[in-house]
Amino acid sequence: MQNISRFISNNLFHYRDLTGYLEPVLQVFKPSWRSGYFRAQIKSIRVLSENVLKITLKPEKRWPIHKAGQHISLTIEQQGRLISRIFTIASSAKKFNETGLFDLVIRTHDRGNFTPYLGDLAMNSWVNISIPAGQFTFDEKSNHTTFLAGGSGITPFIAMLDELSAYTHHHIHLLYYAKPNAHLMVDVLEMCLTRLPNFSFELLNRTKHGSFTKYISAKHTNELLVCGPEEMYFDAVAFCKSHQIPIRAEHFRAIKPTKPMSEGSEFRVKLIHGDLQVSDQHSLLSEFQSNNKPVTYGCGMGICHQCQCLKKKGIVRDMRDGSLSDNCEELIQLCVTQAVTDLELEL
Amino acid sequence: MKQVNFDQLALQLDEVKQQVKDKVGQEDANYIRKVIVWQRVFEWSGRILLMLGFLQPLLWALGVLSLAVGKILDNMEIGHNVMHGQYDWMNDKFINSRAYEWDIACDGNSWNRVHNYEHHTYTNIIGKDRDFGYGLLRLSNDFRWRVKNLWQFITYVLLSVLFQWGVSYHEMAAERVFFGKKKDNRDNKVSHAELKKRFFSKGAKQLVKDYVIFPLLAGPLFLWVFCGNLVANLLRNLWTSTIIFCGHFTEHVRTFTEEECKNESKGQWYYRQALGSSNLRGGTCFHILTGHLSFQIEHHLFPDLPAKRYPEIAPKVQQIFQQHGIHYNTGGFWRQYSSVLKRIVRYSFP
Repeated sequence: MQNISRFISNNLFHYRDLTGYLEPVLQVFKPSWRSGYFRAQIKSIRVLSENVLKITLKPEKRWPIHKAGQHISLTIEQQGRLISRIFTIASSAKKFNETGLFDLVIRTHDRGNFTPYLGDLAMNSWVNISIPAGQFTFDEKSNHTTFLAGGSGITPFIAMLDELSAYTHHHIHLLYYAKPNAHLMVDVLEMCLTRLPNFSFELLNRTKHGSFTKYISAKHTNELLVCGPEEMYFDAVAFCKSHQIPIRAEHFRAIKPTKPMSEGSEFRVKLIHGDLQVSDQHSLLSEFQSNNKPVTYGCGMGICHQCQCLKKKGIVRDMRDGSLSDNCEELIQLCVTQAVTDLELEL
Repeated sequence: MKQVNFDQLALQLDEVKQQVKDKVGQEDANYIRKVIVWQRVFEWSGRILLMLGFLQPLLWALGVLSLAVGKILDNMEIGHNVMHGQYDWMNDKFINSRAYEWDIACDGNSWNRVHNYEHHTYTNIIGKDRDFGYGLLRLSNDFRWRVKNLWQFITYVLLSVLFQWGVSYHEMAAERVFFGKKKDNRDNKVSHAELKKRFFSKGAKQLVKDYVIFPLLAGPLFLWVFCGNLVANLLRNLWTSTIIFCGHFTEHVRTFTEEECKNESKGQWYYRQALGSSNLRGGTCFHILTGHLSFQIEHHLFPDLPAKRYPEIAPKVQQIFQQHGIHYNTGGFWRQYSSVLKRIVRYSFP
């Protein structure tokens, strides 16, 4: 059936799939309807604390139910531009089954390209979400589990705790690192404390309390679950390796330009066929050419799109006006862009 | 080149571009989606009305017009502009220059190479911009007169009637794939085999779609649909050809030599784009149906800005040109078109 649809679409309408041809028409009746995405309606936006929002979404019926700990890609249209970010769901599948709703807890960044606009989303407006994904889920076989969370990395653990019934025999200890007075959803954790007899938690900050290794009992940990920044993840991996403790982790890294351009840096460009090192002092096109990478090109001034490629990840600078791109997937022209971070490109 | 303060010209035009770029957003995204919806409405109304021709031939005629408008919108306001990358910033999976393919015999990639690269980079540089006269017409004294130029008006009419095939064959003709002496040291971006494959596959797709599948789907109304598609394609060909000719071949449009354009600065590049193009005056619907190529000057200065912004840019550009004493070539449709016809006739002779 799909092949027939593709054949018709390709031969009669010049689109690789029929939904692409119909999409703008369907959007007249179903706002934000997009091929390959699910729709979700904004049901509430609550300010939890300064720079932290809790967004409750109601996905359309065909959205598959998530498992606690999984994440989704959230896509919004900001000034006509579609931008996406990954967020872990901060509520359980149990809650979703009961209400048809799920929560995202998101820390907003004033200078970001995505989160500052979340607070402006209108009630009952539509956004797009992906299917739930990720293997970072709770293994019910472990009796003694330690959760290690950093900053907004608390969200999958909130979902996991919410999933557990009051009669659970699991012993769970949560070590939650954040900046002083920046711990999220402490009220929810306190409720879990009364609801789950074998649950305990500690609120920590790195400056005052130091490394998590001081607070974790290797003897009483069957498994360590980590969600937090990259540095925390590396420390946890080293700890688990030395104590032979199974680890499951999800970590994040803020991608941003690290040095001013004048200093000159080298970045790695990941391509399908081999990687390459490029300087941020020249255009990507000239770097590709000096590295003898075969690449189609044309005008060299950013008007003909012959050297266009898909940037999957990373930030580039537009040499014409100095503007920085977003970190998400987008089309770029090699002749007028320079690397600002490591990149992943599809030529 | 004339003594113009090119650096100042570049600064002023860059500023105009930046001002508009800062405004581009939701309004533009909504606009292009709305045009696509209207394109679908015209296309499908047209296809349905063609089949109702057996009830009342007037319905068939309306169907032809509606389908022609659908095709014109697809080729001009949507295809041409989306394939220029004007909407790439939207990050839309389908409305972008990499994914879009249009309802015309010309393969999108071939058009991108010849139009986006050659024509827009080397606009009106004789020997580099193969769009100037399309290798068929003598439109300036830069070309040696040949006997065949005597009947170039007929060549022009035939080219307009078969315009989609002319555009489709353009790159193959220039690369001498089938006929003509192969050029030495030619840097072929695509092999001749690939060019042939793309030409025949896209062309066949169009022929099968318009003259086999849709007529067959109409069953006993085969001929109504077959003829309707034929006339709609003809109308689209005539319209697009006429608008494009008015954009580059009016009386005062200038040509340039390679020598003149060596080491060209940004300002000089803008200057060449300005003198190599001409505008048409008209109403909103007219501009939409031309894909805003009625603002050919603005399009050549800023090919990747959403075309719907050209009307607001035009007065600023005109003012800057006036300040620098640069001729802003604009006029009503009939005036500009008659000057195109005059030019074709004038250069038919030595």
